[in-house]
Amino acid sequence: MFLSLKGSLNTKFPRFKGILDTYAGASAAYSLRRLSRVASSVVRVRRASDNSEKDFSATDVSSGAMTDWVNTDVLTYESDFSSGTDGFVTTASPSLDGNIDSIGGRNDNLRLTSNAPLVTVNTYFRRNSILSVGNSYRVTFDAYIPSTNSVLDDFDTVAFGTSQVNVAGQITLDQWTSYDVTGTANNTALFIRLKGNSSGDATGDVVYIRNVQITQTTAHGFVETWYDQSGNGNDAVQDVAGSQPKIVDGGVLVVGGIDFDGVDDGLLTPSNFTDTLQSATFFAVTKDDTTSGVAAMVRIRPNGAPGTLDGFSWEKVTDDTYGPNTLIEGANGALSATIAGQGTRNTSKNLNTLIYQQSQILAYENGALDATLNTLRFGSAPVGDVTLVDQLWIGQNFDDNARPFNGTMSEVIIYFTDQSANREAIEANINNQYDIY
Amino acid sequence: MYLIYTTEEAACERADEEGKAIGYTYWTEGKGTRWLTKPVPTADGKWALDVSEYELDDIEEASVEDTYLPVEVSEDI
Repeated sequence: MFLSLKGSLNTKFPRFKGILDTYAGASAAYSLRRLSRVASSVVRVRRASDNSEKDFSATDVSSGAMTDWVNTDVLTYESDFSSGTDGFVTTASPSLDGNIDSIGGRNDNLRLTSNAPLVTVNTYFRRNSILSVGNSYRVTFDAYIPSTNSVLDDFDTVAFGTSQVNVAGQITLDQWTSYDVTGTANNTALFIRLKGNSSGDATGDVVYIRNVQITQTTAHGFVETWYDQSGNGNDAVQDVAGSQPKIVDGGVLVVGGIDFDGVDDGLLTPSNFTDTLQSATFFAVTKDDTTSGVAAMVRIRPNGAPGTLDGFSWEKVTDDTYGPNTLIEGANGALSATIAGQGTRNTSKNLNTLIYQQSQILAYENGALDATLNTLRFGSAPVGDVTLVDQLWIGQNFDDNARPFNGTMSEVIIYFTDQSANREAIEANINNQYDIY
Repeated sequence: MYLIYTTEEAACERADEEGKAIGYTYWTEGKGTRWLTKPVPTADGKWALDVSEYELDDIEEASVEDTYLPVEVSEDI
């Protein structure tokens, strides 16, 4: 009876079968889509608003759940003027003082005192380094302006950097008035600007604020781990926040995968690969933001001149998909692209396939053979055993990251076998997913 | 802006201190992001830490350098 029910359920809900289940044996595989039955989480994300981190499945990414999590409202600042200005500053002419009591029945207020006759664009409360560029915020605060002022009688704008929101006309003099403003930051400083509707001398005029709260309502999301879906545990990680590629930009899911900034972003496996191989196949879906400069794509090779090391490296060069450092090196020699480079580099999304076959590397672009890389950098072909003794690097060449990739990556799948027989089918699967060609 | 350290350990200690102060999950959950920036070796055998976005004390503020001498890359080509 039980078996019968199970069989019925399986008929209705067939087990998931991914590309890695159909074409088994991958050594490492990274994507934001689900590639295999064993895959659960595809990515671990850090949201910049509070540096929380969480693992997400492919469904979480595609359904928007991951983006929603990144955009969770986070209270990033709450003022405390009980002992000072709490980081608020102003320009030279007004002055700020904290811990001002008994204003409209409330204590611990921040006071701005005008020391000049004129109210200008520089008459403001300012908090530096409190916003993240490109993200949205809600700012709330309470304000009090006494009717005894000569000139200062209103607030003008709340500015998220230079992006200003008009708040004029909301104040009620001699009462605490609550403000609630939303905006998107184009700089890191928050300004609360004042204005005066009367002519006269503003010297000695005072304005009070309290209970300033800044809530971040969108955020950047960064990739801390791109999980290996091959089942081999070769997760690519980046534990340095400043070098993590982006997956959510200002609250919006990055189009085209994971965005490497071309400055210092990259992912790597914490442990070395220790395989010995005679052939290999690499699939990578990438989109360059620029066609100039050298861009490290995928690498399992220490730093050093050909003839001294074993490993694999794929680097693009200006206007060419394969440069002289697109090479595979083993016991007998090293194969690479010509010095002038081969293939055509562009800013479209491309599927590149490299198949290493001892005496040549077949380089495909969008399903068509683009180049045969058979320049001998040293030694002789066939290259022989390639003994891997380094970490896998994605988007950077090695620790110094002198040639970072600038663009997005959607998928990287690596086999330490010749997948010529399956290449077209695997490429068709990838193309069906990404609609590249 | 960089702080220059004579040993990698000292540079990592400062990076750790900043990572803890920020509250990265490596320090709160034992997994995930550890550092804001990471020390890199210099050509004169020291270690440079990018502290552009660090909270520095007065002594550190007085010792920051605008640049450092990077290690020459002996890369493939």
